[in-house]
Amino acid sequence: MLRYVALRGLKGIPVLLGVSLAVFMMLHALPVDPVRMLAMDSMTGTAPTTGVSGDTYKNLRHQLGLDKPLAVQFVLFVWNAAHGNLGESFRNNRSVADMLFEQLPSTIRLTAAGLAIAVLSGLALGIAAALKPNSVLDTISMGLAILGVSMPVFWLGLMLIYIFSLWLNLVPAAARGPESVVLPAVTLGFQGSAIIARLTRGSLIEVLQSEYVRTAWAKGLSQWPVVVRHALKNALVPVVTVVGLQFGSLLSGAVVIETVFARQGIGSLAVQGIVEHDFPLVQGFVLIAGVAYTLANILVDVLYAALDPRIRFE
Amino acid sequence: MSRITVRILGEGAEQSKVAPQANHEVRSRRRIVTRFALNRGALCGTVILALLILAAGLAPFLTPYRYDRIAPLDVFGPPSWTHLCGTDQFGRDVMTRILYGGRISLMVGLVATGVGAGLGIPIGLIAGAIGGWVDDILMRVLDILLAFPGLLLAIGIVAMLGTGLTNLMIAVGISSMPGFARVVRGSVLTARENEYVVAARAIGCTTLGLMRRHILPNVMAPIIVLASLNVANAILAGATLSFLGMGAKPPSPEWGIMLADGRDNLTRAWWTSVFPGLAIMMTTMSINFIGDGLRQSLDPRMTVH
Repeated sequence: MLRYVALRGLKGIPVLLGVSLAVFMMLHALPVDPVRMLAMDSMTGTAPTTGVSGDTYKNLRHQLGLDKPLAVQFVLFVWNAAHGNLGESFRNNRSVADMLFEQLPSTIRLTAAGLAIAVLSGLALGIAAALKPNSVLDTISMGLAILGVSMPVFWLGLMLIYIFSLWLNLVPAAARGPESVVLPAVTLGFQGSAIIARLTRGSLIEVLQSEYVRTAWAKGLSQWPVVVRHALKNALVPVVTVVGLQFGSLLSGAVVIETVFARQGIGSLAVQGIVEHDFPLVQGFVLIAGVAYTLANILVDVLYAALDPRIRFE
Repeated sequence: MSRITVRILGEGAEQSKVAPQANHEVRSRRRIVTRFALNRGALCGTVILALLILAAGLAPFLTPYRYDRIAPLDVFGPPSWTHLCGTDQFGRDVMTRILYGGRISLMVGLVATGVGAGLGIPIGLIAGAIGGWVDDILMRVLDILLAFPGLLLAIGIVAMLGTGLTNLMIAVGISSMPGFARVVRGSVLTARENEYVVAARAIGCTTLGLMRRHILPNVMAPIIVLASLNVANAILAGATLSFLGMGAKPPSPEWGIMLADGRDNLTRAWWTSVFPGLAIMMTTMSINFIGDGLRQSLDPRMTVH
């Protein structure tokens, strides 16, 4: 098992390097000269009419490190990023890393709560649907699954605000305490919950028909131990993979949901960065998201191997 | 034709003597169409989508209003007989804007899918058919793209190219490219092992001829299914990015923009956010139903869940 973890971790290194290369190249693939972007007017997004004079231009290029060879720039970029230095914001005279890490806890709270809602409600609904296929609960879970893949996340958020904050007055729209995370987290977790419910249902129904489960019934066990101790263990193996993939959707969902609910977080910071042409900020955000997603995928593979020994020996 | 009749006819056709190749193809195509038509979800989806396309296309004939006409006297009018979905903060008719916005959303879905498929299919074919180091390099590049969750990849590309509807479609298209490439490569690898492909290679078919005549037809089914489902995802992604202010710009009647306006006016006019969202949902849902129907009818062995 340890060997598998080590190998899987090693395989992640080139991907992480690739991710940083992609993020690094973003700046150089810009259709606009980054120096001009730095000098751009943040509101209108147009280049200054007076133009940047020769000396200022050279100084700015030097300041951004753009006068060094590309390879050197990349090594510096990775080195700095590994040491928590993601450059300076174009708009705020602040370190991008400081700005992002300041907002990170809020985003982590949101995604953690969203993930918890997705997994818990998804599993509960999926198990209930699998135990009684074609029942009312099963139909509800199917309906939710269809809604989950067809409904725009931000619209669900708007509707929840309308119904629960404005109409029923249950959750204040401008809540700042711990309860402020409830509606955003439900919005964020909804799609994942629907997907996890369908997958759990399918996987559990399959496992329930296997011979060892029939043996467990034949031994005279009651429903709870058969389902939880015998069937669920195997049925959850494919679900784990999807939870890992869901982490990616949660990250992108957080960007949208933070904007809908006017919440602070790295997602709303990134949106602001794009609108204001604050490129280092966007780069920093994309890098953090890419690295987090890659690490989550490694974690899922390790979990998968722990749950299914066959993977380890492949 | 009732379900039973079709089933009996289908069985009859199966039992009849094996016809020449052309006949066989026609029959299997007809069977696919029958299976698709018998799928209730797929049929509903097709009808709804057809209506939506018609409504978007015939918008000028269906509504007496213009989507950008500002009417200060009609601001925030609730739904009524003159304005079925009410009016927004400029007194513009919400229904009219939804109809015109349908054109944009359908275009985003189709163009983005075209970009994704246009880039992804050749890459997948090349990687699968040539193999070796070419395959290795292409797959590593895709791994890097896949290391960014789909929507974030699109957001990153928009950040690079700049905001706007055209760049949005390119960005959403590129972010769906790895999916196409992977599916095509996988199908090519499976198709390559078929005996008739090995035989064709043995009698001296060139790689290009092999790909075009023998492999591509085999990978069409998964491509069609993926493309149809991808249209729905691209519409959702496009609306999301426009909602965030990275796509179409006001006064465009794009659905995401309408919802961004609706969000600001949620306390005063619920109809400005409810109806555009319903429009997005109906469109993506109908396309998803069609995609699932295609999946089931093109390959009955593939199950939905």
